[in-house]
Amino acid sequence: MNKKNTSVYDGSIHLKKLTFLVNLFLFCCFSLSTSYASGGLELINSSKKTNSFKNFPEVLISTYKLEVFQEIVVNGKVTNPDGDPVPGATIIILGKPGGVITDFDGKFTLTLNIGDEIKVSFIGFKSETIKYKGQKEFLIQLKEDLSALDDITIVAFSKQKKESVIGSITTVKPADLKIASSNFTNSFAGRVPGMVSYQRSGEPGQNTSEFYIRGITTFGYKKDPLILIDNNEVTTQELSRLNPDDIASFSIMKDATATSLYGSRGANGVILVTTKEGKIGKAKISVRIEEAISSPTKMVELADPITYMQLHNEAVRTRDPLGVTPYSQQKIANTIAGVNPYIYPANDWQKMLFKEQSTNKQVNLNISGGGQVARYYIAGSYSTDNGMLNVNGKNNFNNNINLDRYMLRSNINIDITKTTEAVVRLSAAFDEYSGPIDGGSDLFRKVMRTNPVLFPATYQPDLANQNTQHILFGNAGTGDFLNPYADMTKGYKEYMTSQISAQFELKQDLNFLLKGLSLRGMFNTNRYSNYDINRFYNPFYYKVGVYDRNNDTYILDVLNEESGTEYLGYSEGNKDINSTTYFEAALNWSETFSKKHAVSGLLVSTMREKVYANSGDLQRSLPYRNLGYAGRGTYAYDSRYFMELNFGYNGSERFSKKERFGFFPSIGFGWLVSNEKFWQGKIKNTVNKLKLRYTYGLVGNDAIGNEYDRFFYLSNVNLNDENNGSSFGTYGNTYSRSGVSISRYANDKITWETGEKYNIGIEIGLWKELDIDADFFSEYRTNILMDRSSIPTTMGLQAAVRSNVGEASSKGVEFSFNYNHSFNKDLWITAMGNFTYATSKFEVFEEPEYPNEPWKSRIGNSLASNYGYVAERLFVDEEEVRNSPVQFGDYMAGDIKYKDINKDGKISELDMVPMGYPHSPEIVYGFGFSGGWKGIDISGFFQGLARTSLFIDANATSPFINQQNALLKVYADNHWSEDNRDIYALWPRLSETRIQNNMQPSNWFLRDGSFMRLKSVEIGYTLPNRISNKIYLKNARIYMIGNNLATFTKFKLWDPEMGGNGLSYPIQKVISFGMQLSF
Amino acid sequence: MDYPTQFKKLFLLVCNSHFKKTIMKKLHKIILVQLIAVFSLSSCSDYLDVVPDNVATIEYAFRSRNEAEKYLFSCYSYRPEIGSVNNDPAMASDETFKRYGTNGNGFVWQNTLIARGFQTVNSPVLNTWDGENSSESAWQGIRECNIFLENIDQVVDLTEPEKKRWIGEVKFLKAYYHFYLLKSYGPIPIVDKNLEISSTTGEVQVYREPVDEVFQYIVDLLAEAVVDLPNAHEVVEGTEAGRIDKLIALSLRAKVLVFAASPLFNGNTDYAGMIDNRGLQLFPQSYDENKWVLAKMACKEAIDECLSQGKSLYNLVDPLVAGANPIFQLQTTYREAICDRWNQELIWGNTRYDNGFLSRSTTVRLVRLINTNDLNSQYAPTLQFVEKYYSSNGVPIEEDTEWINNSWYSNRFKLREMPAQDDEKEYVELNKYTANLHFNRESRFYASIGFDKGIYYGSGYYRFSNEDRDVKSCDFLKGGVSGFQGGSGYSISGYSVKKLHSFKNSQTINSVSTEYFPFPIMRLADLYLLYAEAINETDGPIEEAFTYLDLIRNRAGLNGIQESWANHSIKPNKPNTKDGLREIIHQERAIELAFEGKRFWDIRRWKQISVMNNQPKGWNIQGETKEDFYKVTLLPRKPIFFSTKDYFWPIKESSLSVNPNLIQNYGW
Repeated sequence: MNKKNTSVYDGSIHLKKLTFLVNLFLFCCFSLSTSYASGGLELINSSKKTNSFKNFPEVLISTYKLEVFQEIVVNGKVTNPDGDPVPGATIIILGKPGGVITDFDGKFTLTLNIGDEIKVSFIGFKSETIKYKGQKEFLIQLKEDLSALDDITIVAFSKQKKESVIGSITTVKPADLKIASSNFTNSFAGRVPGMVSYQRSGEPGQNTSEFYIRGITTFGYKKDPLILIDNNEVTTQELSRLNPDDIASFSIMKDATATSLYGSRGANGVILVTTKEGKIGKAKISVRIEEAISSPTKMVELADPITYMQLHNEAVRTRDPLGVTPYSQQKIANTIAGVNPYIYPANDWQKMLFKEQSTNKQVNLNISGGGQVARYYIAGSYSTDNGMLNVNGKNNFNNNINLDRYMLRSNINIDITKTTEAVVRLSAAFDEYSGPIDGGSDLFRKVMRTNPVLFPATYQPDLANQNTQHILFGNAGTGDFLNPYADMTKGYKEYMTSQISAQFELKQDLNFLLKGLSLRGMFNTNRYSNYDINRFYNPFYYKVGVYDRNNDTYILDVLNEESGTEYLGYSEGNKDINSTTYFEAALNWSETFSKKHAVSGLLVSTMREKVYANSGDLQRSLPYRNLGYAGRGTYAYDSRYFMELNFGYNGSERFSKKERFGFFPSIGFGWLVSNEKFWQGKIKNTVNKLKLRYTYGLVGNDAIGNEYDRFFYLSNVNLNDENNGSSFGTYGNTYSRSGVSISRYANDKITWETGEKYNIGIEIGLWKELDIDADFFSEYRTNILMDRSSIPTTMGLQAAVRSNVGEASSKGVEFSFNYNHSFNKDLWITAMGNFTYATSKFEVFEEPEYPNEPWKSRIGNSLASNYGYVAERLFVDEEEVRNSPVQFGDYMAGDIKYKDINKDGKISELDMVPMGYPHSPEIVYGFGFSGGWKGIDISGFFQGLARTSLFIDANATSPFINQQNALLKVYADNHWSEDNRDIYALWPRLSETRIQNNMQPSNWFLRDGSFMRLKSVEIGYTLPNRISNKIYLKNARIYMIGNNLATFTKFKLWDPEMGGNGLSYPIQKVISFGMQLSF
Repeated sequence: MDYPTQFKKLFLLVCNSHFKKTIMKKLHKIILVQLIAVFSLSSCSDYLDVVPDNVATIEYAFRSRNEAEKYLFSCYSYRPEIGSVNNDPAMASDETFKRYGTNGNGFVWQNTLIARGFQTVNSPVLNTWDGENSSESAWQGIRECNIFLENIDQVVDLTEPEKKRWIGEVKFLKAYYHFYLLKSYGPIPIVDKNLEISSTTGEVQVYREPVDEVFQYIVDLLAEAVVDLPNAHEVVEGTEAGRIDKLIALSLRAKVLVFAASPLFNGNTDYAGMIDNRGLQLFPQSYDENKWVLAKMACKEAIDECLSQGKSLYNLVDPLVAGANPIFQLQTTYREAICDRWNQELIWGNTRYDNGFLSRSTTVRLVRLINTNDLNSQYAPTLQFVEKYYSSNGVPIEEDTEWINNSWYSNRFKLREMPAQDDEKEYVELNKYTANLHFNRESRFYASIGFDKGIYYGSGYYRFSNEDRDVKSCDFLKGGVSGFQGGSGYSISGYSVKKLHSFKNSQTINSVSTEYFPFPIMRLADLYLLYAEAINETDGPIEEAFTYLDLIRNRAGLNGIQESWANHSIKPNKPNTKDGLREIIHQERAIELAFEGKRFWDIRRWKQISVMNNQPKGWNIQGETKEDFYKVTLLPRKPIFFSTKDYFWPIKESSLSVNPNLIQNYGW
């Protein structure tokens, strides 16, 4: 607003010049790299003329054969610790070039001299160096190397050696992401440094966690990261269905170097998952069976029915001394005395609707193996989650939540030629759900909106209804009250979700053209469909018409004779179908020159299209497309100095032609200090690793504004909007025409938002046992799309005018450690911990000028700040009410008194201030240990959130509203009343209507939402081999996992992880028993 | 680029080449070409052009008459919901009082919040400025009108006369939206031309203009519109009734000028301090009598044009009541002036409101309904307003000599010792007891108010004789058929508004049916009263004023003003002074136009908002016996103090922050 007389459209899109220059640079690079590649090809080509096209080791061996004297031909075999052959292992003779690879049976043949040292290596095993002593045969048994797999890190579109990675990438061991939940996303909390994650609901099917990488730095709609499974973009829901057993690697990319290849899509970070592939060998079968019992971590406590009645009476009388009290003393007395519970009901709706626990089951099976030509990994899994709802035996349908999930995955790798590999990945996930009509959370909320004493859930039939077939549900008045039991049992909803993904990948080794060059192409398609159906009857509601006190009998009156049905009705819900097509081609090259200069390059092009079937709008029905080119160049000198250049060049269909493509470069430097010469000896033994990293770059986000807001450069009009039409004629509507409405004004200057990211990282390894990583990061996000708030309503615009004017920044630190120690062969211990602190703030936010109310400005506050009025206390008396600034609506003594911050004599929007901590936590941490002794392993993991605040929803917790809303026990125990004029009571003066004054957001209802919880405890026992082998098992482990077992928090009303959503389906405490077998 | 094909080619090439080494020599070149193709940027740039031609944009709205008609209807769609029992602020003055804020379904009745003094600057109720809290944004309506006027010439298949008519209608609407804002907010910006979306921040920060300028702008624009608008008979009732015609424009112009002349806008010194940052004073500080002269002329012009185009006061007897008692005929005629759709008296009927909901909110229950909320009588007259109706002699009950001498007036809230007699059975159920207040009143009282034991003619019950007691009466005692039965649908005062639903409606135990009628925004009686008021303000109590007032009284079965006062009032000379006649005109307006959403604006322009401070009263609806029921009861409302600030809406605080050139209304 300080930009007087600037055009409304003129957002500060200042990156344009920069983009142009960088574009120029890109094209230069591009042509250079192409010419270099072609030059290289020529060279190779000339040498090819003499050498026939063969696998390189053979070529090399044949070359050097001539120089060797007194050679002996030796046969050998390489096996794993179980004695199975290891095919594909590399054997080289130290000090001599060349080597061989073992065949399918693990066998090899070499020509050796006595005294030669051979080195046998294979990924996943510790390399062995053996001196040749003249024997005719070698039998080499390799030992598994648990850390070897960590040496390779998955990076954007490629893989890199871990030591050379400069970008901030966290790789999480898939084993750490196994928890007793069929929802994969629930395992993130506290496990992943740099990720802020929390779960707001415990309802099966609705319990996906929210997660953000390094907090939130945008106020656009997409705040969560880009999620890729096998390079294919998927939704949060699809990620939640992933089975951790199928995961080969799970990486989180956080800084610019790691994400800039994703160009305009990577600004919020990237989650990259790859699924397992088969390995050469006999079929390996692995089965995991898990059975779990879950129960709420905490149920919201309600006041007992007697207190409810007494306080409801108080609520009426305290506001209006002449008011009619809803419950007579006689009713209260009879209810206490327990006289006929149908006449004097006292319902515990929670108990009536909800079971104390439910059971879940999970079975995973995978088979992998393969031969020289093809390798396979096939996995299937089934899980069933049940809700905690009761079922009425009179219905033969099940209204409880039952979510069955089936998944199938098949990854096949085929070597078409020695240099060509094809990979086919098929995966399918199916959800079958049945549950209550409005979902489980809704029932929890309905209980909060129900009166416990107005009527019983159901009546015992009276004389007239002895033969009635239907359930006699209770109700009152004219049958408009909420009977949650009826709502729960009246029917059921079913939904089916199918998601199928097919991927074909082709890798071509182009070593024959240029050493280290390879080409990869991938095509992926994804189909998703979902539909739901409701079947339900309309419950018959009854109330007691006549009650015969002497005989204790009653006659029931039906309240809705016409609308009730005994038969089921039917309604169809949404149908959602969409399909995604993705294409990717990548050219990879890496080579080491003179043993010291390691160079690599990568060029990728991607295309993606997503189409929605039921889009509901012409513009939304058009394909969502993305086009991207990306590249990477790395250079490492002597494994000590590293440099990396990345770029993404991306286009999105949402923007006008001239704003369509964006260039996102990044640069990074790394120094592996511990590989320096001076870092040898003693210090190396203590600090075995020391690495410093620095990265800087730009990343974009094209998912701005509203997801459904497609083409910013076009206006969006509805030329047939019924809501904007008019009617005329004899009957007022004889002649009606729809009208015209505008939901977006064209603006061809709108473009993606850009994040400028910095990252400094340090990695320390101590005593080869403790690894510590720390990253300091900051980001400055510009071009955030926002509504122009400078446009007054007198302009008469129907839709907000927006432009890329917002700016925000974030910074923080993340820290993690890993400790491994083996005391001896049988006793080991590991410990891990991580800590993330990420905070954000508004830098530029277009808002009205507040010359007298500087606190109203958002600038400088967190993006997730809570705003509210400052509640001082409750009003002491009417006189104070009269002499205080005017507040909201009708209020009196015992209602909340707010502070008039700007002292203008009234409480208004201008008095709202930022308060508390952000609603999204700033600190997330987790720590745990695991240890094992012989076959027994045990682990424990704690997780917590801090620096977060939540609001208790005063609207939803207001008791007695419409004679219905339930009363929280804490309110019953602690409220202002005329007898107990506690001006700091938890709940203000009771009322049976919503007192607008008390419903305002204020610190009165703001609570510290931080907590720490024992997230998981696991105890397992692996059968000794001698026993398992007897029953034809390779490995057998039984285990028990407990999740969310204990929570430490100041907030006691509900599970604080649910935030302000505490009145819905609670988060579950789960104890599961499982068995893992492999054959 | 067709990438799957490209890819397939590449794939085949790579595979084949390996097996057929004969083409090996060319391989590298082919691969190179393919690589360049895969990575080439230019060939794929149109991949992102996903938008086909002919995606609807605003230009399409004016391509044909058919589309342009929709735009015309869009311009109309911003009309306020005049006559809506919950969303028209004017349906919540001192005439009625409603249950607390919500109807049975939990919806807040926005206008009730105003009546209870809960208007706020944070989130103003019925906010026509920003289009919030159940109100459309009038500024959006004005923008639509301007877009229409800018583009209507592009329509190729629109005939010239029709185009002219549409332009006239849209100009009218533009003036009307300005007027609605003006009477709600006082001084307002004038938006004659739309500001471009790309306007600078400075340009969009408009100023509120002085009220005189705004009045002038509206009057001029209406004069422009009148020229283009059709005559009343040219508007086809079947499909066009409710569209704007010449008579509507002329009557609105008359009303606008009466507003301009009225005390709120004419020399109102209360708002002397409203001076904006340009130094302009927004309210004229001196009284200008000429404004009344202009108003008077405009009223006369409108009346003359109405009469010449066939308008007259409604005086028909519906065939359904042709055989009924003349008492019922008289009452029905008065009710039908509102409810007989598109009748001769109606000048402007609103087609934008839920007539069914209004009917259900005004009708009393005459039978035991299964769902008591179907007929909720929540739009409940206050006892004070019920007192306003004249006595059967046509004078205020507190002035009526007969009422005073018989102590009917002093005992008006007491049960009459004598039950209803045979000659009163058309008013009160025979042999039933009710308050003195309910006997000996004028016909408009019985036609407009449903009261305890009062006869309720119509609603499906028309026969009335001693043998067949088919005509129903109200029973407002607790548990009575019309009274409080629990739930939320009940009259809080023990009265209901009989006037605002057709006598042809019917109700049975499980169904309610309602007749449609367009809510009268302007009817001839209103114009007559405005004219009389303007005459009195300019010329005092002259014959011309009485002529028009008496026409209205005669229709209701009353004698003329001078005659009635001379014969029955303790103040027989009252009509002969300017002040006296003004008081009479005010009361006549209140009675004749009761519950029609006129009084809300009248008490504002007359600067009489303090009447809102009277605590509303009613009967004790919790009384199960008549002795219990007939106790005057204060209706539950927090004491409020309507003052100078309440004549206008507050401008939302955040709108002031966005545009610092706007100044807040006085007192907010």
